[in-house]
Amino acid sequence: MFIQSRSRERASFAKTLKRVRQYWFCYVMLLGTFALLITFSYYPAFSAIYHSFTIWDGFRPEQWVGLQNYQEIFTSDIIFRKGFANMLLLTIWQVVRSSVFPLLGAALLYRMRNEKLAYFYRLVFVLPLVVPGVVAILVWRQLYEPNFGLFNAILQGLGLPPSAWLNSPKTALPSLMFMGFPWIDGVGLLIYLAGLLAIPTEIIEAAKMDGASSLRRFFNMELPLIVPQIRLIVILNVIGSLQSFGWQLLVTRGGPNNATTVPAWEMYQSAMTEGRFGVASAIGVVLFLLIFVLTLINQSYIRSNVEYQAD
Amino acid sequence: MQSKSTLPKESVTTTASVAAGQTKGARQPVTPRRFRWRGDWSIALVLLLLGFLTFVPLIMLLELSLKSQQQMADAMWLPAWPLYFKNYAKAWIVMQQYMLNSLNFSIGTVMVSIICSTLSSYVLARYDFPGREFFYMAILALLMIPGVLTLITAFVVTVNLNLNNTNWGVWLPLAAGAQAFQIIVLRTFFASLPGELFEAGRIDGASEMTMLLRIALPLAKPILSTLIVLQILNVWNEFIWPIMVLSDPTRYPAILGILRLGQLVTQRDPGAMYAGYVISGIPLLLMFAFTSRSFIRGLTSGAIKM
Repeated sequence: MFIQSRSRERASFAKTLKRVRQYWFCYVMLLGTFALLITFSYYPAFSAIYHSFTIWDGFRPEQWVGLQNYQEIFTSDIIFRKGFANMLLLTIWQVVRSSVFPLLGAALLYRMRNEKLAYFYRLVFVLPLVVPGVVAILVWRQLYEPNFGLFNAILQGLGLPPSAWLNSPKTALPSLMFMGFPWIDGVGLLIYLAGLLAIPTEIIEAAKMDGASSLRRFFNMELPLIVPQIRLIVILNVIGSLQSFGWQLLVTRGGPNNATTVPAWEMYQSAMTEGRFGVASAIGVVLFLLIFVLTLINQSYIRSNVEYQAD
Repeated sequence: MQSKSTLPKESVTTTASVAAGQTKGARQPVTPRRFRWRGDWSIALVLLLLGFLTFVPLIMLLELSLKSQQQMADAMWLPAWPLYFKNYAKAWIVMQQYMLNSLNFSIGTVMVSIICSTLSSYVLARYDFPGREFFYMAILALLMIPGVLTLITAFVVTVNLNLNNTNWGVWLPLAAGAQAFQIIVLRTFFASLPGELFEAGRIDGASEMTMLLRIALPLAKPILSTLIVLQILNVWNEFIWPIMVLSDPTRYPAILGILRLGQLVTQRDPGAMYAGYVISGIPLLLMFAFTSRSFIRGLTSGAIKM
């Protein structure tokens, strides 16, 4: 009744017109969404790509300069060398911590026999997600505070020399990476747990009968079977990590001495403080291409492994 | 595109069933083993340690928010007695405006985006109008556009439309950002409804609009509540966009308002700042308490948002 795509393909122009008239209300109902999308998604995307080839202050007419902005990005010490190196490090770390530690938590929860206790722990690990990201950043900033922060208080209590944490170029980036210890991310935990629970019980039972140890079951059976979930978490975290600049915006401003800068922050800076919207657009396009390629690579992997999930 | 969406959809449904507490069928208690109690205990212990470490910053936050200046000067990080609740009263005076702003942004964004995405996903799922595939592809294509590409130029558009420093400047762009995700989820849902329902409605002479309001929407309540909860969470946590478009700090959402607490109340009561941090998260905590199922389902379905 609703789907007649075959006949639609064969329909003549007059017929199409008739159907357009019949279904006119569909277009009206799509209007809101597409007004929003054209204004705030499609047009800005094309605008960013076009303006990445121009010198532009955002509001006055732009001036076409070809690849000059890209040249500037890839020769800049701060944006390219420092920023991309930091981004790479932070992203790799993010991938490790988002795939290893929540997986550990999920595997432990999966082994728990007491349903109520397992449910309680799941709640415990999901609950921190309620804490707004900004609050988490500000609290960790207090923990890192050199003069009266918790970490230096602990160090002093142990008789160790205090550290400058976020205030020293050497320790600033590691401090960012350490934030959120012990890194059990609730979303990741839930997704891994769902993957583990979807494994047919007979397989695990059979392995237990054969006397496979808990560790062996994990590495030889569970891990290969939740590869799709791991890939999903990895790509989501890569995409998120490449784009994030919350710490930089709220606390470090990319410093000290550009130690914590990332391309996304340089983009924000170029546009919002320096008024160089062309360069900002170009950084956005570079990040977009990077995310696009990584997503494509990941998608092709997921497709080839989707059979795992089927049953 | 078809096979691409396979994985996220499946993970959504599986996690949804987990969230709904239907784990019992998937994981039956197995035959008793020798080290049963010992196994559970050691696992519980490791998890307890990890859970405790996760919560240390939060515990510290709560503890600091309940200390007076003198108590902090005595021992910054150690718990102190009596609890100093005045901090919350002081913080609330500053925070109430920001909390109202956040509420306003959340409600406005949810209204705009849920209305638009419901209408669109309904027609995309149920009517075979010319151009349907094109429109749906145009929405799927959005999944490939990361926020970082459009952030700066969307800001320029907003300023050019004179929407900066207005509610619409927050509502509309944030609603636009949620369209793709919401439409994909809702379209899948509407397409799964049996056609007979609508056939019956048509025979009874119901108009297209009536069928949406009387048949489809009541059935979609659970999925809509999940989407709404997830969107409130996202809007409440959004700070980059508001910081860009709102030049007047009195319009800031709670999450940015707490940045200004430092300047306003720390002189005599440093604890009030921490109390403000806590206050800014309380609505999310309440939402979690009342809708933990939708909440968990929503969080994991975020996986679709690639």
